[in-house]
Amino acid sequence: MAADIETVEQVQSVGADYKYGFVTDIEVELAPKGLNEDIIRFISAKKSEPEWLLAWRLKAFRHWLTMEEPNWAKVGYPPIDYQDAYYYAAPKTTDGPKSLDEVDPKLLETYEKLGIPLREQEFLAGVAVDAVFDSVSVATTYKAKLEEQGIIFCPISEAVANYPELVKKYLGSIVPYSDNFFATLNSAVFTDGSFVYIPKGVRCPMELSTYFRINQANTGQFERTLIVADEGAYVSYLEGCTAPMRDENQLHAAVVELIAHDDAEIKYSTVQNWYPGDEEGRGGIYNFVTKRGACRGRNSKIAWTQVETGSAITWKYPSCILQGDNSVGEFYSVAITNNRQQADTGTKMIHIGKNTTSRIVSKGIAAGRSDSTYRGLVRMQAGATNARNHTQCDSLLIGDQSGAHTVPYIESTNPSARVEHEATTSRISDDQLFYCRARGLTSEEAVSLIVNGFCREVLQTLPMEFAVEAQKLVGISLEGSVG
Amino acid sequence: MPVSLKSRPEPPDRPMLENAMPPPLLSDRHAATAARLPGSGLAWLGDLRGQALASYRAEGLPTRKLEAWRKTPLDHLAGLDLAPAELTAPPAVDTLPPWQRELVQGPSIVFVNGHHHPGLSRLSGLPDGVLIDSLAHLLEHRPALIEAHIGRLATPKGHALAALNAAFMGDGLVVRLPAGIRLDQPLHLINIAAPGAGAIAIQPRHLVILEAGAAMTLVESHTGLGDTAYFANAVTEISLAPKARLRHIKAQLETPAATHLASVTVSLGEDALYDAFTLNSGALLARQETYVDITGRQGEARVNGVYLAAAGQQQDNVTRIVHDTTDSLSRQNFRGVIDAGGKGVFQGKILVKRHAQRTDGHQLNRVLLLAPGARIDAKPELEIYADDVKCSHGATAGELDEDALFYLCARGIPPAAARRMLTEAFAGEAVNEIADQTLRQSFMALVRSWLDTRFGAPA
Repeated sequence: MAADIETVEQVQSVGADYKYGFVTDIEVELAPKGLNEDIIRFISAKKSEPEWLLAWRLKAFRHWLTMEEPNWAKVGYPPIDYQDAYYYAAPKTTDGPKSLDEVDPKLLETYEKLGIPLREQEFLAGVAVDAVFDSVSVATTYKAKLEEQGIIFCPISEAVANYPELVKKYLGSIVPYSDNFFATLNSAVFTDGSFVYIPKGVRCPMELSTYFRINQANTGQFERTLIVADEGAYVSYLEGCTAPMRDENQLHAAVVELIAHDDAEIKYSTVQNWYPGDEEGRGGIYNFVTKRGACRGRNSKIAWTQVETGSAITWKYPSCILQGDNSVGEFYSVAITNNRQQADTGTKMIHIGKNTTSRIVSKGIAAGRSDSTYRGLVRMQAGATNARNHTQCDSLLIGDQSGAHTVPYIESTNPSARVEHEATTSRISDDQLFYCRARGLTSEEAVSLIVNGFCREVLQTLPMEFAVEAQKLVGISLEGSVG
Repeated sequence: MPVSLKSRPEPPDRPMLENAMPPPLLSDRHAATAARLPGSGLAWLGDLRGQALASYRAEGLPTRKLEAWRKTPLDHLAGLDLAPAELTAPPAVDTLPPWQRELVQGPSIVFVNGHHHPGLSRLSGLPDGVLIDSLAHLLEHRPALIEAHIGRLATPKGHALAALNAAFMGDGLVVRLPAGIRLDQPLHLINIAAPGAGAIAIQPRHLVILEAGAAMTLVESHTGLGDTAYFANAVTEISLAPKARLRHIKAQLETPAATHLASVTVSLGEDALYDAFTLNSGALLARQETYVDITGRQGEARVNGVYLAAAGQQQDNVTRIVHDTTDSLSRQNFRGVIDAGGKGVFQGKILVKRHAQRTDGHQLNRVLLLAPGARIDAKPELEIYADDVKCSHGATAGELDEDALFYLCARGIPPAAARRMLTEAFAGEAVNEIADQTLRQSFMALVRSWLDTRFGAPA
């Protein structure tokens, strides 16, 4: 298996350390530390936002003040001081870049280190990338080609300026400003993210991609992504994330909203590789993310695929609201935790329309002293006649100091709806390891091979560009967990 | 008295403000009962009850703010003026309901409104050394024995209903089998609620202690008389020494005015077996909580059940199997049949502790929704900290398999009869977990009589 040889090479080349842990030293404009209405006005003013958006942010902020941080997830962390962080950090430039030539060369270098050379991608890879660096979108590649087909792919702040009606119509329509503690915080202070609109009947000719990076110390990142697929449209969207190594924890509270109209399809893939903290659990990103898609139209489809290998703590439940008749929701997840990482992740499938179907495949791998939890909800509402769900949750434990947990909620009020849930927990057996070792693989290679096989069902759903990276990540993330 | 469970809408995700009302069952007449309960002269028991009362006073009845009670409203209890049954003289019940009389052949002990009823009990011919008696009687005559066991497994901390029970417990069944003794016939624990004109609260406390190698079958049956509301809050503590084997089979057919809450806490020694089956088909709201702590190597827990909910009823099952040692095994097999307007809740958990290597745990909850308006909320849960384990769970919800129905209809069986047949077979798969053939047949007959009310008697 080629990927495994590469994995080993990669592990050697990075010395088993977090590959993306460098800091880019560029001039940054920061808003004062802390969170209050002035900061929100500052962010809004920085982005030259219209009045309605500022009002929406303030409404969210005032509501947030009345909310309590949720504590039901199976994760533990010291209290977060929301006043001890910067809510706005932007590379210092005068105006938004007109083209890549105007982008700070140091930034471009950073992205090259990350393995997403924007230029190269623009000319060769054919993947349109919107790169978000701390709080602002740096560049969106391939924009012109997309515009020919009427596809809008731009930073959300730009969309607010250029397509206010579209943004106003859809922003907060899936994740309302009052949704939950972290989403509400995001609504108040979100700084950037991507906006995608695919017009009627258009099949987006390339994968769209966003790369998020937290660079600045003491910052939170609060991006907001909004993707609308109009009737009969199709789009595949990729999201990747990294952050430098730091001893303190950093907060990432993003919101993603997807809307699929009649016959539309959105495929959303994430490879999340935020800095997970060191072996003793120092530092790392708190990844508290709200992702939700609505299959508004008939025959629409939303598929989430996620490979979660990073972050000190993951709190994330990409969900589908299956409103339109015959709509389809899918959730494929690999969550790998090592050392002291904690992941509480899963999905919600809310079946409202007739003949709606959902499929959940979740693979959790816990190594070191980490905890991995699948938490999910499948709800069949009274109108979900002939709806179907199948859920498969498998957990793999590596070493006897880790924990794997499964907490599914199943609610059905429609007899013709069928819900099936299966879950298993096991470990890599000595037999499997012995078999691989006997054929000359090291134990590291053997584990990587077995785990990649365990996750194959999910990894196969990733677009090519990510599948290779994800396979490598699986190997790297488990480095040091055996032998 | 018409009582409805829908006294409050579903709670929002965020917690609501604290209810300023004092918890139910703490009126003056309840407070005054403490001094008159059996064993009230015993200092240790006074302490136990006092602490439990304080704990219940602080927590109140569980609300839907608590994760374990999210789907189970108890608001209707606050609206009932519940008199403590512990202190009222039991009403004259001189015959047993026929189904209870016929359920089991063997010795029986009868409790009416939670009070031991010696006149109806049949406890002759037991082997030497076997102790089967009422808690009230033993508190008077052998308090040391009770002190050694009561409240050891069902602790009131964080469990408001166990606290409430501990505050008012006065009677119940006590069984102790000496080492190596096996009871050939099942012991039948018969519970009858006869509330008369006013609503009552019954708080039985049962203790079952099996010493090393002892074995028995305990059959529990529950029913009520009349249509007055009553609240039964039973707590059972079961201690199984190494190689002890207890089969615990329960039929709950309370009246539609009843709220039946029961918790069973089991401690399982090395190589011991706890094999439980519960049929819940009665009551307005019934909740069976089974907590098994496997502390002995190669301990084995089997917790199975069938729950049948007709219109207006809610049937809850809560299990928590804790694997606290190596090489232990657990199996759970639950089947729910929910009719229009009925509701089922299943919360099952397998917890495998860090050192519990080579655990083998499996759990299955399957639910049949018979008609629109039926509802199931299931939460099968695995919490696993040991790596060398085989653990799995499965859960399904839906209607009867159309292919199977078609198959039967194609062979000339009328659709209604085919549905009944398949529903019976569906529930039967869990009833089959009952090891004893006679009991299996008796319980299958109870399931059939429920099906008669739903589908009509078979032609």
